[in-house]
Amino acid sequence: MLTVEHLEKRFRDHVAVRDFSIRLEPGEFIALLGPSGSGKTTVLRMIAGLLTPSAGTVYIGERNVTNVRPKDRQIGVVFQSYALFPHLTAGENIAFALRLRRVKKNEIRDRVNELLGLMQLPHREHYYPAQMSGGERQRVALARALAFRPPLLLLDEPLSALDAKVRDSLRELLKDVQRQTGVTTLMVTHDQEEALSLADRVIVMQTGEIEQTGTPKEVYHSPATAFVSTFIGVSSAIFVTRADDGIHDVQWCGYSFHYPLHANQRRELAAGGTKLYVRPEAIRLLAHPVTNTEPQGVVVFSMFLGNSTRVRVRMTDDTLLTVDVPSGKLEYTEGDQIYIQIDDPRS
Amino acid sequence: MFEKWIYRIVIVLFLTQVLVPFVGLVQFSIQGAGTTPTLSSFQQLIVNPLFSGSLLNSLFLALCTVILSIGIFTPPVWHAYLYAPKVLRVIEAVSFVPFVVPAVVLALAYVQFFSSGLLNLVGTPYLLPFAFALLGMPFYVQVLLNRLRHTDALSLHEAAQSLGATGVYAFMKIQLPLLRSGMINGGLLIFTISIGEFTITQLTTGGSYNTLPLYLMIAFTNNPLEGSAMAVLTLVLAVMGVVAALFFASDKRRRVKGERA
Repeated sequence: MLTVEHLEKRFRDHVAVRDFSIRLEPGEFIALLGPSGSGKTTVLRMIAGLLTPSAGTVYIGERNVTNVRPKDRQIGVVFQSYALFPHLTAGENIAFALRLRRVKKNEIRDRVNELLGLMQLPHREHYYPAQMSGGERQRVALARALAFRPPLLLLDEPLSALDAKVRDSLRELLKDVQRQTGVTTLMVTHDQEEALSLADRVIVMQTGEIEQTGTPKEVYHSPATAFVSTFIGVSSAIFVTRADDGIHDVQWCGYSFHYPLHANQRRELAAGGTKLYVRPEAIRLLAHPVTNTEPQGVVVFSMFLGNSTRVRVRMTDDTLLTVDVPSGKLEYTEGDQIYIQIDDPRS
Repeated sequence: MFEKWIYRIVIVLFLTQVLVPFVGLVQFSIQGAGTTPTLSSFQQLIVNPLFSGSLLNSLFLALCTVILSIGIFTPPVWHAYLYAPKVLRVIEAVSFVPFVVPAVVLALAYVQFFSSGLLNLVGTPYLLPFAFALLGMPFYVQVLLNRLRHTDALSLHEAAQSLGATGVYAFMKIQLPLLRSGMINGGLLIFTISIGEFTITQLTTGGSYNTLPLYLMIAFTNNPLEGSAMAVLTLVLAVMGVVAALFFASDKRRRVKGERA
């Protein structure tokens, strides 16, 4: 559906995006995840035609659109600021693209009503943007971008300007709408929760380059780099070698366990050892060892978080682990001697 | 309590500063040298064809200047704001030149440049709208820029283009309606500058084209009563014009933004 090859954008000496390539299959939902300045919005703007690439090509289907004007690309774009036309009503905003395409009046009316229904905004047709809430405006912006049935939808931080509650409900709506319309979607976000919950695949970016591409589970459980492991959630880095028992994947301080590995990590492991980024919920604290191989440590910090307690444990090799203990389980305080087990997140 | 009185004194001082010259002018125009108040100076003025002629000339010139200013300043300011921030900085800097260059210098430059050859336009009123537009440029450009910054013009333009609009269509259907209040406010400032301009008119036309300020000067010299009446009438007309334009602009703004439900 969308193929981007070796895209690059330079602003004088600064390289904002370097050698960026992706391929989106029809109906796929991809999230471009990264911190501010990682180049994700620059990529989106180049795909939309709002920014000229310094190098690389953009294909929609088989058509090379690298030098095609935005108006001729047939891409729906939802902007971070919504960019609703303030002097037009919700209905007029949604109908804008259809009027440009000289669609018949009754068809425009039907499509506007259909989209207002889909966005759960049946009584807002004659409201101006200033008369609507942030969530409603965002839904109108989405309806407007979908009105002309574009084959590709680009979302630029679509939920970032909303408060937490509205964001949660809109996230579900966004997923529903994407499923119902089947539109291929590329979403830019800095919110890892948003990316993991909505996307079929996540592309993590840093300083203009792709750090990792994978399904939300792969990216979360097998971060390829230290950056991915820290940007997406919390993790503890441990240096592991290949397990010598022939059963488990890896071994650390004489303790063998199963853990999903990224391709790079597998290669490094074969060469001697690799850094593994373990999620807090994958680590279990034990008061007593079960197999006598579990590594030992001391609780150095404990903080109640509501549904869990975050505990930091210093191991005998001086590694610092972050562990989330579900509330209601045994409570640990600073100075407690403990043993740890690492669970396979796939199981 | 003390603060309240300070506030009242400040208001009274402000109103005194603004109204005293006007009250004096009104009193002089209806009192004149006699003891009985009369409106005869106003009657004389209204029936005087020279007055109505100069008023029409000034209105026509001001209207031409406003149309010219909107036409020549709006597109480049908008384009530079969206696509060429460096050019915008140059436009902003240049737009302040008329602030620091006295009108008489501008007039002499016009006289020097347009007094020979193909562009021998000195002595005609054709230069006036251009000169007035230049005088009003700082005000117009700043008002327009404020409006552009307020409307998030770039995102709206990009949104329109992504929906299939050409640059021209997006400008006409999205940007212009949103810039309307800025254009009205900026146009209003240019209109008032044009109506009251004296120096450039006098120097470039040599008094051959009668405008309101020029006639006012002659009237004051020949008949101070008529001159005062004319000044009062001009002020009243100007205030009415400003109120009408502001009402129009705010009404548009209300319609654009919509009343909050």
